[in-house]
Amino acid sequence: MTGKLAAFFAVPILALATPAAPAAAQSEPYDASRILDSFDIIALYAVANEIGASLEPEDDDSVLITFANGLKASVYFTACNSGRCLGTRLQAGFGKPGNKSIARTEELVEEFNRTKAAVKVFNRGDGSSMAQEYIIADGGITMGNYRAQVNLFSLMINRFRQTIYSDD
Amino acid sequence: MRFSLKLLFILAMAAGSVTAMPPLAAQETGFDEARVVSAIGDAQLRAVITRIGATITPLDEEKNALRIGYTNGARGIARRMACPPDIAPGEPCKGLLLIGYFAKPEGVDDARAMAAAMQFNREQNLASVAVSQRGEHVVKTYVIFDGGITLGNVAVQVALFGESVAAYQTLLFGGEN
Repeated sequence: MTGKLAAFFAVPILALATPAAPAAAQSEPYDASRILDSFDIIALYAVANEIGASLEPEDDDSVLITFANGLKASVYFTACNSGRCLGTRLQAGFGKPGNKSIARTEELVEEFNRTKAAVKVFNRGDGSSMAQEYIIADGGITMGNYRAQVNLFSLMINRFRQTIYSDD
Repeated sequence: MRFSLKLLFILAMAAGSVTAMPPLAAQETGFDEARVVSAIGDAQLRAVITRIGATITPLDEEKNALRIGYTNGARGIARRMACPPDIAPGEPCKGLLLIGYFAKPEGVDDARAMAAAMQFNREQNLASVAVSQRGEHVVKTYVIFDGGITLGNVAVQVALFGESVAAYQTLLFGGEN
C-alpha cells in the first residue's frame, strides 16, 4: 500500500452486522465448490487466506482486509436477518492525488467508471474517491466465486490506484 | 474487464430501435435455480429472464445481447462477455454485463443530472451509473461466473438490476428509459 492511499471511509448502513466467529471456526478450510447462501466472517477468512489477504476487525463492525498487493478495503456484511447476511460490500477510499486538481481527478475517476464494469468508482466531491463492489449470496454462489469476486476487487482497485496516482 | 461505452450506446440505441418487435414467447428451458454454472449460454440466460417474468428481444445474430423488458417498466440490455474465442453463437461466456441506457435527459440541466448520478453511485450497492461526455447515462452491473454461481443467483441479480434501473429512472427524471 502506498502512502497515497487515504484512510478508509466508514459509511454507516442499515442492517449492518458482522457475525462473530469462534477462533477455531475461522480456520475452516477453503472449499471452492461449497455453496454459500449467506456470508459470514468464517467464509471471508477462508477466502482471504486463499488469496493471501489478512483480516482485522474494525470498531464499526466492519472488517479491514489487507490484500496481497498491500491495498486495504473495508468489508461490510449487509442485508442481515437472524444472523444470516446476504450481502458483502467491499469499499476502498482514495485521497485526492497531490499532483492533480480536483477537476482532473474527477475526470480520471469518471473515465474509469465509464470503462470498467467489475467495480464501481465515484467521486466524493473533494478530490477523494471511493471504489466499491457488492456481492450477493441470494440463491447461492460457490466459495470459489466469492474468492474470485474478492480477488477481482483487489486487482481493480490496484488499477484504479495506478490510474489516479499516475505521474501525468 | 474493459468495455467500450460506444458499444454499449450502440446496443442501447439498437434496443430502442426495435421496440416495435414483439418479445419472443417464453422459452422454458428447464430452469433449475440450484444448478451451478461457471459460464452462461444464450438459452440459459433466456430461461433466467423468463423466470423473472421479463420479456426478451434479441439484439444480434451472435446471440450475445438481449433486451430485457422488466415487469416494472424498466428496460435493460444483457450482453454476455468474456466469451471464449471462436465459439458458436449462443455458447457459454464467463461474464454478463447488464446495462440500462438513458438518453441525455431533456428538461434536466447537466448539473442536476450529474448530481443524480453521484447520488446513485453513493447510495446504491447493486449497480453504478456512468455519464458520457454527451450527457447519456448508463446504469450497469457485471455478473462474474468464475468459480460458479447458481442460476437462482443469476436470476436475483438480473431481477435486482431491473429495480436499480427503475430507481435511477425515478431519480434522474421520473420518465422512461
